[in-house]
Amino acid sequence: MDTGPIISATGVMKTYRSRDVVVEALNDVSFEVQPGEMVAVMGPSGSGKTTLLNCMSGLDSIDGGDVAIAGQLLRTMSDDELSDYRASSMGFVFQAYNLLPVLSAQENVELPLVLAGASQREARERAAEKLELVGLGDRTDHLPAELSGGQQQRVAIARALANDPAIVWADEPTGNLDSTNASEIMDLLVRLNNERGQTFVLVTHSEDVGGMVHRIVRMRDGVVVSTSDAATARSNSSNS
Amino acid sequence: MEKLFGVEMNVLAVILAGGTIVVLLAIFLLALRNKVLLKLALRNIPRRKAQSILIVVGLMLSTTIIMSALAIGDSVSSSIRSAVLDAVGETDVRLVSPVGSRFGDDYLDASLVDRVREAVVGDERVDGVMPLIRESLPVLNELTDKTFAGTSVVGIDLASLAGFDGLKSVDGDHADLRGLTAGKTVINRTLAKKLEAEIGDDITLVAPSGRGVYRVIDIVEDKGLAGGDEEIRSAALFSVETLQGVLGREGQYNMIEVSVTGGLRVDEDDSDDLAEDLQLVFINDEAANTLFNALKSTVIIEALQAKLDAGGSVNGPFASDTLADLVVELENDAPTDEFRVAITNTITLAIIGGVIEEIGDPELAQSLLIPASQLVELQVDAIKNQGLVIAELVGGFIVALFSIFGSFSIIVGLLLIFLVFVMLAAARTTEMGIIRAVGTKRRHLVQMFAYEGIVYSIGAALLGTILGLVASVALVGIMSGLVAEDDNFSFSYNVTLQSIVVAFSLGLVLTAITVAISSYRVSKLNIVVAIRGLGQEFVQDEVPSTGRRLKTALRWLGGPLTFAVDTWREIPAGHRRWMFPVLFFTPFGFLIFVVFRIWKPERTPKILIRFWVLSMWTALVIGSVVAIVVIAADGAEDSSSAISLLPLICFMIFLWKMFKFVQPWLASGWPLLPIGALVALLGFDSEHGIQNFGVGNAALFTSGTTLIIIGAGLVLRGLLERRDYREEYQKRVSMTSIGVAMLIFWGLPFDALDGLTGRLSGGPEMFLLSGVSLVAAAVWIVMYNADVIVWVVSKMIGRFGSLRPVVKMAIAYPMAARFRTGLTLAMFSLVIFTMMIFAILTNLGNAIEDEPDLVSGGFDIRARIDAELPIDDVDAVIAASGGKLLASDFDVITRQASLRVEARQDGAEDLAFKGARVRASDATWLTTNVFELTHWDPAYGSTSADIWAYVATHPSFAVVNGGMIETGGFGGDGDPGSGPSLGLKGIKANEPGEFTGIDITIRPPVGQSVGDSVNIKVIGVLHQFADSFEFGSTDIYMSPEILDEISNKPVPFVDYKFRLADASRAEEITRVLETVFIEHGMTATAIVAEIAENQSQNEAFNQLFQGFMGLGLLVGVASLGVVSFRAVVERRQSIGMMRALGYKGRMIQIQFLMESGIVAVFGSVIGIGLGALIGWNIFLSISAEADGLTYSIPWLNVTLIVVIAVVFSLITTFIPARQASKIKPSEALRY
Repeated sequence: MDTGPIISATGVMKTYRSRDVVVEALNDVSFEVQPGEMVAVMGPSGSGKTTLLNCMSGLDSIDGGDVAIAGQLLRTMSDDELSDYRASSMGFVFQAYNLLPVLSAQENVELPLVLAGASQREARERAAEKLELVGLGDRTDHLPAELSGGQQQRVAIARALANDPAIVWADEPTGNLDSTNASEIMDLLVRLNNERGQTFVLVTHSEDVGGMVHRIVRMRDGVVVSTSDAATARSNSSNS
Repeated sequence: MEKLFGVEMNVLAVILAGGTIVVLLAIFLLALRNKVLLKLALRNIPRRKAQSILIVVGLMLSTTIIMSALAIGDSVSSSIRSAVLDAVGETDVRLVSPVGSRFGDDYLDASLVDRVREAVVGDERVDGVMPLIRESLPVLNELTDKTFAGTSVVGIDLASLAGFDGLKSVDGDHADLRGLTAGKTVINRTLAKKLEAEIGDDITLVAPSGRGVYRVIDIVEDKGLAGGDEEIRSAALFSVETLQGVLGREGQYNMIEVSVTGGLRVDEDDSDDLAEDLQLVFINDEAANTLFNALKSTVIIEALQAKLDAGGSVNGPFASDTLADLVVELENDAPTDEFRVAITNTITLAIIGGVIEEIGDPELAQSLLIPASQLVELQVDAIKNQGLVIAELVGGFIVALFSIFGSFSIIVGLLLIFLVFVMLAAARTTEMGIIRAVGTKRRHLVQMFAYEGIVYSIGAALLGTILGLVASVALVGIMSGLVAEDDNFSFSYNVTLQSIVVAFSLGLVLTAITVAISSYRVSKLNIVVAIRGLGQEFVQDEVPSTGRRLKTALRWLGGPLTFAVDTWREIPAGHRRWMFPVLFFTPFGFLIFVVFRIWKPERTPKILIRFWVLSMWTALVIGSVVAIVVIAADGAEDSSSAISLLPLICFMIFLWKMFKFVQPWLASGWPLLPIGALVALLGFDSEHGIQNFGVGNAALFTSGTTLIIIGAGLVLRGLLERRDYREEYQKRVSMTSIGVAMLIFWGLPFDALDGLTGRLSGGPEMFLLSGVSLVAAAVWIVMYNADVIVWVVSKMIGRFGSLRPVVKMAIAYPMAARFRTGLTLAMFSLVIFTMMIFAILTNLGNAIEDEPDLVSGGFDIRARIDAELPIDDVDAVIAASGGKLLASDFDVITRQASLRVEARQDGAEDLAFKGARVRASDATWLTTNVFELTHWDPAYGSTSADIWAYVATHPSFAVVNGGMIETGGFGGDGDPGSGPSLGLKGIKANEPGEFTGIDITIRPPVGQSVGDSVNIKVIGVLHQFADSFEFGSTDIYMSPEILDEISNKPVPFVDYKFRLADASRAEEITRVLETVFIEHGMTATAIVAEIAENQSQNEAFNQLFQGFMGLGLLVGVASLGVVSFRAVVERRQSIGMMRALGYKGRMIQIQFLMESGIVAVFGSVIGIGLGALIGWNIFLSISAEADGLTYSIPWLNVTLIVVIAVVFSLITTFIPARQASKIKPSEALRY
C-alpha cells in the first residue's frame, strides 16, 4: 500500500490576467495531505483558497510547479484522463451546492455512479444508501428547487461520496447555510471522515469549521502562511 | 401585380406602410420617454452577437417567403402582361363579326369600316382605326427548306397606319411599312428565325388559291401588328390588298382594330368606355327593343333576381355583373344604353334563356333567339384590357399558390419568435424580477422586450426583404430556364415597389405583433418566483368577479352607443365643447393628442382623452349606422364593405368580452362543449344538421369538433381530479385522450363524414388547419407521454454503457423545459410535414408516364391543319409525297372536326344553355381509339370498345369528356357547370361504373345562327386524362353526321390522329408530316414525347417549389440552433459541475448534439407519419376524381429531406455544443 502523501503540491504557481492587471493567485505554494487526513484551507477572501483547490483537484491548470495525486502528476494527464480520474476518485462539494436542477435528488446522486459505469440497479441502490447516510432517505424524488439549502447541500455531499472517492474536495460547504445547518453538515463530514477514512480538503473561512479538522492551512495573497498542527486542531474541536 | 387576395396592392402598400410607421413612431416616442429602459433593452443585442444574428436569421424568414412569393407573382404577371402588350401592340379595341366562321361569313365590308371611322371622328380618345385581315396560313422558305405552318399573316391597310406605326426593325430603326407593295412582305424576328430567312430572301405563302412568292423587305420585332398572338408569335405582314387577292376577299376585312391615344399602355377606362360607345353604334335597336319588351315582365325580373341571389350558377367573372346590371336596367320604361350593352353578353343571354325556360315558357325562350342573333352587327372587345385582366389573375394565382405552401413556414417563423422570447425571458427571470422589485411596472418589462424585439424585427424585415429578392431572382431564373424552350413566351424578372413595401411592412408588422404578444406573455411573471428562480414560467391572471365580467360583456352588447353617451356625460359642463371637434378633426390636433398620450400621459388634459374616446366612438356609431343603411339599401356592397368594418370591430370586441366572461370556466372544459357544438353545426350543410342553419363550411365544422374534443378532454380531467388521482395521471390521461381523438378526427379521409354533415366546402385553409391541428395533437401526445418515450430511448441507447450518463442528461434537460421542447418539436414537425406532403403530391401524377395510352388513346401523332386549307384525301397526299411518306407507315389515320356549341342537360335544375364543344369524329377514330371510359350506360355495351362502337354507328349518341361530370374533393366544391361551361349532374367521378344515359340538347351558340337544336344521349364518360392535350373539358365526342343539323355550313376536319406501324419513328414522321402537308398548314406533335416533356417540366417546377418550401426548413433548423445557443449560456454552471463530476468535454458536446438530434428525429417521425397520412387522404380525394393515380411514398426524396434536416440541425448545434465542451469547470463554477 502506498504510504506517501495522497496529495502533494510543490511550488504551484497560478496567475490570472484580466486586461492589464496580473494577479498572482498562487505563488509558490507547496503542501501535502496524507491519506485519511481532513485538512481545512483558510484565509480571507481573495487569498487563493478556491484557486488552490481547483488547481490541486485538476479542475484548473497551473502555470508552474507540480501537483501529484496518489503519486501521479496531474501535469502529465490529458483532459479526458483527468475527467476519468475525477469520476473515479474524487468528489466535490460546493458552496452553491451545484445540483443539476433538472434531476431529482436520487438522480443527482446516481449520476457519478452511472458515469463510472454502474448498472441502473446498482446505481439506484448505492445512491439510496448514500442519501440514507446523509439523512435524506425520504426526499429522494424531490427536485433541488423543492429542497431547503441544508438539504441540497446534503444531496451534494451524498453525490460527492457516491463513488466512495479517495478524496473529497469541499469549497465553502457551509458558506450558504445558517449556523445550525452548517454545524450539522460539518458533523456529517467529520463523521464520514472518521468512519470511512476518506481524505477531505475543505476550503472555508469559518473558524468553527476550522476547529473540526485535523490540520489547518492558512493562506494570504496566494501564499501559504502557516500550517497548524493537526492534533491541535482536532483536539480543539473535540473539546468544544 | 395590382391585387393581392383581392385587395389593391396600392391600398395594401399604403395601409401596411402606415402601420409600420405607426409601430415605429410609437416605439420611438415610448423610447424617448424612458431612455433607461431602452438602454437596458438594447444592450442585450450586442452582448451576444452570435445569438442575435441567429435570432435575426430565424425571424427574417417569414419576410423572405412573403417577398419571394410576391416577386414571383410580379414576374409572372408582368411577363404575361408584356406578352399581351407585344401581341396586341397599339390595338386596344377590336371589332369583329359576331358570327363565327363556322356558322357564316365572318368577313366585313368596307362600309362597316367607314361607319367605324365615322363613329370615332373627332374623338380625342382615338388615334387610329385599322381595317385588316388576320389569318393563319403556312409559310415556307424554299431557299432553306424551312416551313412554318400556322403563321399569323396580317394584311394591313397602308393608308391607315396612323396610330399603328410603332414597329421597330430588328436593327433598332423605325420600320417603314409603306414599302409593303405587291409582292413584298415584312416578317417578324421569330418567323425569320424559324425560316432562317434574311432581308432580300423570297418566302412562299401557301393560300387556298395557291402559292405566292414575296420578297422580305424588313425584319421587325415581335410586337403589335407583327406580334402574332399569345400562342404563336410568328407573323408576316402584307398589304391588305395582297391578302384580299390571295384569299379572294376583294374589298373585305375580317377585323377592325382601334388604337386609343397614348401608345402601348393607355388608360383602361378610356378603352373600356370606347368599346362600349362603339358597341352601342353597332347594336340593332329594333332587336334590343324586342328583347327589352320580352324581358320586361315581373315574373322574369323576379326569376332573374332569384338567380342572382342564389349566386351559384351565374359565376364567371364577366357574367354575374352584367346580369345584375341588366336586372336593374329592366326597371326602366325603355331600353337604356346600359341595357343594350349588358344584353350583348352572350353568356348572360344564355342564362336568361335558361331562366325563362325554368319558369315554364320555352316558346318565349326560343323566340328570343332570333332578335338575339340580330342584336349586334359588330362585336366589340376591349382586347388589351381583357388580356391584362388575365395577366393579373394568373399572377395572383401564383402568389396564392406560393403563399399557401409558404404559410406553414411563416407560421413556423412566428412560433420561433415566440420561442426566442420565452427563452430570453427564462434567461433573464432573475434580472427581470429584480427590476420589478425595485418598482418598475409590468408594462415597462413589456416595453423592454418590445424594444429589443423591434430591433430584431427591423433587422429581420430588412434582411428578409433583401434575401427574398435574391431568392426570387434565383427562382425566376430557374423558372425562365424551364420555359426557355417555348418560343412564344419569355419569362423575365420583375418586381414592383409596392411588393417590396408590402413584403417589408407585412414582415415587420407580423413580427412586431408576435413580439408584442410574446413580450406581454413573458412579462406576466411573479416577482418572487422570478427572483428565486423557481421553475414556474408563467403566472395566472387575476380574474375579476363573475358579475363584473358579465357587466363588461353586456355593456359592450349595447355597442359603442352606450359608451359614447357615457363619455359625453362625463365632460364637465361649461367647457368649450365646440373646441374639441376642431382640435380632434385637424390632423395636427390629433397628432398633438397622440404625442401627449404616449409621451406624457399624466399631463394629457383629461378632457382631451375623453374627447378622443368620444370622437372615436361617435365615428364608429355613425359608421355603423351608415353601413347598416347602405347594406340595407343593397346593391352597393363594394362601397359599403369598408365602412362595415366598423360594426364588425364593435362586434368583435363584444365577442372578446364574452370570451373573457367565459374564460375562467374554460379550463374546466364544459363551456367548450356547447360552443364547439354550435360552431360545428354551423359548419354542416343546410340540409343536414339543423335546417337552414348550417353554411356547409368544412373549416367551421372541423374547428367546432376540435373544440368539443378539447372540452371533453378537460371535463375528463375534472372528473379524474374529483376522484383524487395524481395530478400527473390526470394530465396524462386527459391530454393523451385529446391528442389521440384529434389525431383520429383530423386523420379521417376528407369525405368520411360527408354522410353526416353533407358535402362541405373548404379551400386551402383546410390544408393549413389540418396540418397545424395534427401536428399539435401529435406533439401533445408525445410531450405528455415523454417519460414512456424516454424510457424506451434510454433502454435502447443505454446498452452502449459509456453513453448512458450522456443520454440521461440529454433527455433530462428537454424534459425539464417542456413548453420550449414542445414548441421546437412542433416547429420541426410542421416543416417536415409540409415537405413530406409535397413530396407525396408530386409523386402522384406519375401514372400518366406509366400508361401513356390513357392520354393518347393509342395514337402516336396528333396534328392540326388550317381550316381554310382542308384535306380532301389524305391517302392521295401521302401517295404523292414522292416517297417521303408511305401508306405502310401508318396503321390508322383518323379525322375530327370541332365546333363550339351550346348545350344543356335536359330535365336538370339549370336549364341555361352553356358552352361546349362537339368533337365530330370519323368512324375510324371512334372505333380504333383505346381511350378508356370511366362511366358507361350498360344498355349500350359493357366495355369501352362496345360503347365507342355504338356511338360510331348511332349519330345521336355521344361520349363526354371526364371534366364534365360531378367531382368532389379537396380544395374545391367540385361542381362543374357552375361557370359558363356545360356540366352534367347525376354522374359522380368518385362512383365509376354504370350509369343511365343522360339526354342533352345541343344548339348553335346564341347570336350565331338559328339552326336546329339536336337531342343526343350521353352513354359514356371519358377517363380524366384522356385527350388532355386538347384542352377539351367540355368536349362531346360523336359521329360527324350531327354537325350538318347544327351548322348551316360544312365543318372541315382539322384534327388528324395517326397510329404508326413503328411507334418509335413518331418524332421523325412528325417532321415529315409537316412538310408533306404544308399545303394544308399541318402542325404535328408526337404525343408520347409531348407527355414526357410535360412530365419533366412538371417535375422541375415541383422541385423548384420544394426548394421554396425548404426555406421553412431553415427556420426549423435555426430554431434548434437558437435553443442550443441559449442552453449553453443558461447551463454554464451545470456544465461546470458535470465536468467536475467527471464528464469529459466530448461527452458534453455529444449531449448537446443529442438533445437537438432527439428533437430533429422525433420531429421527422411525426412529420413523416402525419404527412403520409394526409398525403393518403389527399390521394383518396383526388383519385375519386381521377383514377389511374398511384400512391407511393418517394422514400429517396423523403430520406433526403430528413437527412438534410437532421444534418443541418446538428451542424447549427455543433458550434454551441463545442462552446459548451470548451467551458473550463473552474471558471464555470466561480460565483
